[in-house]
Amino acid sequence: MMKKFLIQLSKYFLIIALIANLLSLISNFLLKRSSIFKASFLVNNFDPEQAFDYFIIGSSRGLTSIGSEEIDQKLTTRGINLSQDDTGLPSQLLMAKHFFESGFRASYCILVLDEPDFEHSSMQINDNDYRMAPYLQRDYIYDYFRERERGIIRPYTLGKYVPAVLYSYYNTELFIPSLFTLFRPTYRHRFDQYGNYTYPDSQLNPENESLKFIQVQKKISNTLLYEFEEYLRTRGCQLILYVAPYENRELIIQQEVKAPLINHSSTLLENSYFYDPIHLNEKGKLEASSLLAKELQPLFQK
Amino acid sequence: MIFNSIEFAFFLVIVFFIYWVLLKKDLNLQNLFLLISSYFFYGWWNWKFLTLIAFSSLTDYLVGRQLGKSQNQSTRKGLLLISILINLGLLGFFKYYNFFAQNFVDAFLFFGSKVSLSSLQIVLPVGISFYTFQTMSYTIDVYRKKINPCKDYIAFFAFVSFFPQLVAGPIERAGHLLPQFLKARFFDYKIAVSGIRIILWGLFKKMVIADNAAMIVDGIFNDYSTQSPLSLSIGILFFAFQIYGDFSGYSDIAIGISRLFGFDLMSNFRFPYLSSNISEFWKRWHISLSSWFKDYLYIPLGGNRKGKWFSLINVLIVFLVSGFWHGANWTFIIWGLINGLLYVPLYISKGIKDEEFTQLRLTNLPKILFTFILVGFGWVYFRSPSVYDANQYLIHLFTGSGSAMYFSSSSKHLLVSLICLIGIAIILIVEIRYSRLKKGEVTLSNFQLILLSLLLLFMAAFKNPISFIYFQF
Repeated sequence: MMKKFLIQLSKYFLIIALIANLLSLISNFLLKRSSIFKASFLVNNFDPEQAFDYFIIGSSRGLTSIGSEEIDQKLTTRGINLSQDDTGLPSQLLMAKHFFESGFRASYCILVLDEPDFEHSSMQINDNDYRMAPYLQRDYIYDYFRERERGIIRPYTLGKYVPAVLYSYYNTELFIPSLFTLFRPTYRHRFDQYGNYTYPDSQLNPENESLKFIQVQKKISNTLLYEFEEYLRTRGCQLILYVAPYENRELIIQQEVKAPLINHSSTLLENSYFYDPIHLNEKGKLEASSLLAKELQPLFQK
Repeated sequence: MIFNSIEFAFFLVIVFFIYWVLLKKDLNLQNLFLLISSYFFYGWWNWKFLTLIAFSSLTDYLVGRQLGKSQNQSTRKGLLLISILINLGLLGFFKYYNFFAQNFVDAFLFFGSKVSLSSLQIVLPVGISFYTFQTMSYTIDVYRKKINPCKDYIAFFAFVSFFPQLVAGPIERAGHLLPQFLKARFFDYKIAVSGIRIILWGLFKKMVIADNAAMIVDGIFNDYSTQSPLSLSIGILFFAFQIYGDFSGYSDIAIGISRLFGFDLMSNFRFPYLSSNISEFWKRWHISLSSWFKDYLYIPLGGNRKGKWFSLINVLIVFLVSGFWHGANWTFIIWGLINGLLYVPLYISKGIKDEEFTQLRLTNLPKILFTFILVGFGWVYFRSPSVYDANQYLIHLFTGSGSAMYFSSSSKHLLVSLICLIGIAIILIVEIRYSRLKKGEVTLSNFQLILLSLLLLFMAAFKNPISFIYFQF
């Protein structure tokens, strides 16, 4: 009786595991051929033969503070914004690796550096790192997750060999969106054809007021930046650090990393430019992009 | 260690194999092993409270033995009183001390006097209300000479702490569960398979419906003042299915696990949201508690033996106590009262005969929906942190002052809401079908089970595993 029970249980377990893995592989295929996340958007919408002048990497501040389209119009360059919200410096380095490992080239990488990453970065997996998971079979992506996963359940680490573990654990992030891409493969999740995204005007500050800034002393000394810089150097790409505007903070930065730094933390002087204290709206993005383009011009000409 | 955790999966597999492979020939060793496993399971949460459950078990074991020996009525009454005082004393201290202390102080303040009574930092032992009621039912039944006292202390201790139903029921009667510890158990293929089926159905209800709904419900209830009437309505709908999925899911898993060990537990839910009146609802919701209150509170109070109005008061008392049993908060008392008051008209009219199973027809659909809406309003009090919040929630629902839509405020929330709706649709379709077949238990076919497993895998809130709501009671 017990033997029969265990055999039946194993049989059904295998059938379910087989179907679940098959569905997960299909899901993986759908995500890789879609444009829903930045990783596949890059691979499916651009030709590696046509080099970029620059690419932008960052978190939500990179995604919404500067527009590659505006910079390109001013400098007649070709750029792309690969920033992803809710990511930190390690995820951004991973995206840079993905850019080059996918065969793309660029002369400059504009890294929109956030305060939490100035001195060191968390080794944890960021909330939106799952967007890189469709490329888990690639070593640099697998290594990233394997080094960071903790606990009993390790969906990314196991997911390379048993995709059902990954796609069931991240079902609302990966599996169900992949079904959506079946019907709309060109859909992009919160970014335009250049990878940019714009926040609306703030509803909190309808009145246009001049801003008062608090001066804050900061040091950029994150060792991961050296690794970032070195990686880019081997790919013939120069790192440019950019600190996007804040609504009320002026960062006085002491820099230990050699890469050029553009500190625009206090360049926008009115709250009408802001969606919230750390994100710009469309008006702010246009202004910040224009100011950045002026700073980039001499750097690009070098 | 909750049922839908990886730790419990390992625990269950190990216990199952030792129980059936190594100990299958020795009933006493099986019981001892179940007792150790159950204490391990409970101790995983907080080992210090093992003394409490052991003390409660020891009290009722000894009282039961003495009741068996004594024929003197006053001695027997005294013994019963000791058991009840100890059990309710422990429950009262751990669960209700702070509530009474606070209300005592508030009451004096109301009349202009200041009384100082410090509240204590008391941790509520998980499942104390459940095992207390279970062990009390044993003593009362022995006192009533419905069952014989148990001489096998290992079997008795295992009965009180049986891990599948220890922390959230079903609250078993000694007359039903205890004899199962005393007779040899053999592995039965069909029963074990039915156990696996019902476990999967329970996991679906818990992980797909309850855990997903919790994300939306929390967002809406935590910020109800800004939400639109549609969003507030969705909050009530989702909470109704969250608590149903959570609690009935737990009960199903408990019943299924028990079957794997050769035990039969009572059914705790029978498609309550298909009820066409409140009376039916309470015969189908948390059946083990409703019947406990009927047997050990309503009937001892006099039941319906002393006239209609007297029995009506008894009914209201039962609903109030039932509400209070759920938690030391006025919200639960109001919830119990609301349900009691909704029950009154039916009780007075007595014109409606409760059906065991609902045959869904166009004629009874409005009644079912009306009953669901009434129950839903009650759930607002159950879910809200205070009576004030519950009142405000309902005021905002009807005045429509807010405009926020939490359930669609981001693509993630919209997706989770969609999953909940799909889950709710599945549960209703299945329950309507089984109700039509007059089958109280969902027994899915092999194909349906594979489909259910896949839905579970790709729709469950694995990253949002929430402890079972009823653990706090």
